[in-house]
Amino acid sequence: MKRVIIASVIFLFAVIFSISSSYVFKSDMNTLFDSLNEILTSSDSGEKSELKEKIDATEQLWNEFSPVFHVLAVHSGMEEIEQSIMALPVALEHGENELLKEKCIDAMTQIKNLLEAEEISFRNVF
Amino acid sequence: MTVTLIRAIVLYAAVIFLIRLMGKRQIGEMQPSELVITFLISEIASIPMQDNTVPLINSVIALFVLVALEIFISAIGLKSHSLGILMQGRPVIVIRDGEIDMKALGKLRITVSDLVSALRQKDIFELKQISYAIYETNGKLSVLLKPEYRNVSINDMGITPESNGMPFPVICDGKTAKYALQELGKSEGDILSVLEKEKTNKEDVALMTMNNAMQAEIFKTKKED
Repeated sequence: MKRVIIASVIFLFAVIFSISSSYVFKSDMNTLFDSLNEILTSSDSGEKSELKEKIDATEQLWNEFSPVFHVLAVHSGMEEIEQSIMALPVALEHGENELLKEKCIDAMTQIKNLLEAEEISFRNVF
Repeated sequence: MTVTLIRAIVLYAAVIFLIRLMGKRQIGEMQPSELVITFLISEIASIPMQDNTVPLINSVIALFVLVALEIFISAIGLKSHSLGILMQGRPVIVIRDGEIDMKALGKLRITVSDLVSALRQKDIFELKQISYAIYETNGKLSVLLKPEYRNVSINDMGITPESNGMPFPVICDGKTAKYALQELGKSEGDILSVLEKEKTNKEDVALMTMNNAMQAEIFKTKKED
């Protein structure tokens, strides 16, 4: 009986951890996605200072979320996002607007892929 | 490299905890589902140890779920006979009243030569000695010999031996085994009084066994000259 109780506790822990981590991962990834999307939309029209603020905010978000992301997702996927985000201030500084957009799109695509991989769907389960 | 070291320690702790939780069984005594889970545990635990880019928690959660399910199924199997049979199968009689049941062997996909080989491993070389042979769910063969081929027991001889219970190792390498004292319902003082009678120091004892009747056997540590 003791074993069954311990097994129930660890099973419950596994279920709660899986559901809550999935929720946290999706929510944080969506926040990051929105932040990158804002940079992308204002990259053509926005002021350089405004863009810089948005990039800094995105970088800050990344620094805040990345420890959790690394616990929950394959690290190689995270590295691709990190490289793209870290390239944004450099691209802005050198006036490389096209590169800035490209890096934004790269990071957003990677985030989308990771979010899709977390969805409970026939394709993901099987 | 330090990351690998820490990951290995965490996984070792998790695997040991889970194996202990599954219970004590030798590989040969495991039910098919337990054997599969044991192999899966080693397989899943090895992935994040080899690849540092795989999150540790993914494997730990998978291990937890597998072992928990295994414990649930075996616990339900204890209550539900039909589930127990579904998960573990049922023992199959392959020799009945000295006759080989070819249909049962066919169902198990075992040849007569396999059966004879399994019997030889149990030191049975003549089929005529066997009354019943049963393949257990863990793949082991149990054999009941015909009465005329069974060993003579004390009961057959009409002797009633005195039973003083099982001798427990109360001292191992000069140290008292507390669990043995608890099993025997004795105290450390009881052991020391026996040792005093034998004029032996506790530290010089390699092994001391004792039963309920306080009958003790002492094996001293061999002292080097």
